[in-house]
Amino acid sequence: MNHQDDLELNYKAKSNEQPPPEVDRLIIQAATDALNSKSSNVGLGRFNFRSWQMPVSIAAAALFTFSFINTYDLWKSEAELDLVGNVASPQSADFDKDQHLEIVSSPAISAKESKSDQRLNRLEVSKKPKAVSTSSSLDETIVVTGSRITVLSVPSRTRLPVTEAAIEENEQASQLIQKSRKLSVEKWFEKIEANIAINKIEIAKADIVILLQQHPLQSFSKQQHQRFVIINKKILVK
Amino acid sequence: MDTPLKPTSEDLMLDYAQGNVAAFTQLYALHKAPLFRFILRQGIHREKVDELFQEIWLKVIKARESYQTTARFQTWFYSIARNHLIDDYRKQGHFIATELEEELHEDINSPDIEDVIDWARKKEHLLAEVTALPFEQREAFLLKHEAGMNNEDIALVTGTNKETAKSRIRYAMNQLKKQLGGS
Repeated sequence: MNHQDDLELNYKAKSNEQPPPEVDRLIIQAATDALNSKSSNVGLGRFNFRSWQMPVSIAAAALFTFSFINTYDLWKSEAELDLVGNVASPQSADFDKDQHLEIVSSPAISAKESKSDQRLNRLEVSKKPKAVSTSSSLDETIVVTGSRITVLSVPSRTRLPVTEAAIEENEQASQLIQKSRKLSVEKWFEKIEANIAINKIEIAKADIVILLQQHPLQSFSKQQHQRFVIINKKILVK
Repeated sequence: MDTPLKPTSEDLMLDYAQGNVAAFTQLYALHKAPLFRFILRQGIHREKVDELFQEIWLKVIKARESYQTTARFQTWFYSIARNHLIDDYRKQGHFIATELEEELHEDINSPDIEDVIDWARKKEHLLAEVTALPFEQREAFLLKHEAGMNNEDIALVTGTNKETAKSRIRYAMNQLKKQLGGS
């Protein structure tokens, strides 16, 4: 018998620890309780809407309260992002770093696959940047830069999906609205990302981006559902 | 008379997802000790081991409805465990060093009698030396010797390829022999 075999056998002989019986009982009990529980738990890698509904609602309410009370005057006359295509490049220095505010704690969540089980510990709210754009199709942007979340609030009648078509195909607005409804959600999202990138918002660092905006499309493909979750006519983009 | 086929872990997990607690009990009995030792060998404080052990099983319980038999149960199960451990390391601010494989040498020498004597004496420290292995070697070693996985499954769990998994086990063995004076 060589050393390697000896080592393996020796390891197997010595490695015989077991979990304590009380831990066994707790786990079996948890497994039983889970089946008896009315609320259906979702598995790893799935977005658990129920676990997010409350914190997202609270966050949204707090965001709007914060934004309307404190920044209404600032936001009223200006906009920082032109979703119609004339996207100006706001300066990152325009963000008021002093306005960061921690507003909410949320429960642990399960997330996708191996990157799962990420926990959102807090959200920090920052005021939107000062307006820099000449256009004002976007009235407000609330950027939540926390551990992994970004929230954007844009008007419900955004023309974003129309934008590319309008520019590229040079057609009448009424026709474009129809066309816009046919744009893929993916493309729409890419445009959002593009604008966000221009805004120097680090969306890449966020696991979840919440867009408080209604998308014109009524249906989503299964794949798209993995990234978009509609909450009361709002869209949560993952 | 044919003996009934023993249900696989995959079957048991699916049965549990369908509401069969007894299936979970069986599944737990099969995998609790290997998982427990997999965590224990990470060099974590004993109380923390119990905590992590429970948390991982709770994740399995919660994930029952999403479980699919596209992969072996063990692969899925230890992926959850490994990710949970890594998350915990990070939360604790621990750095998981990647092994510098190029610095490791394969030094399988032929043993002589003094080595064997010394080896027999030092092998009492084997478990401690397993814990002292670099993270990636340790997990590969434990997945093989605790979970009973082959190189292919280890590669799946650790997000690497079969050859790397094989190398890590080999390096782990060499390292153990070196530390125990068995080389």
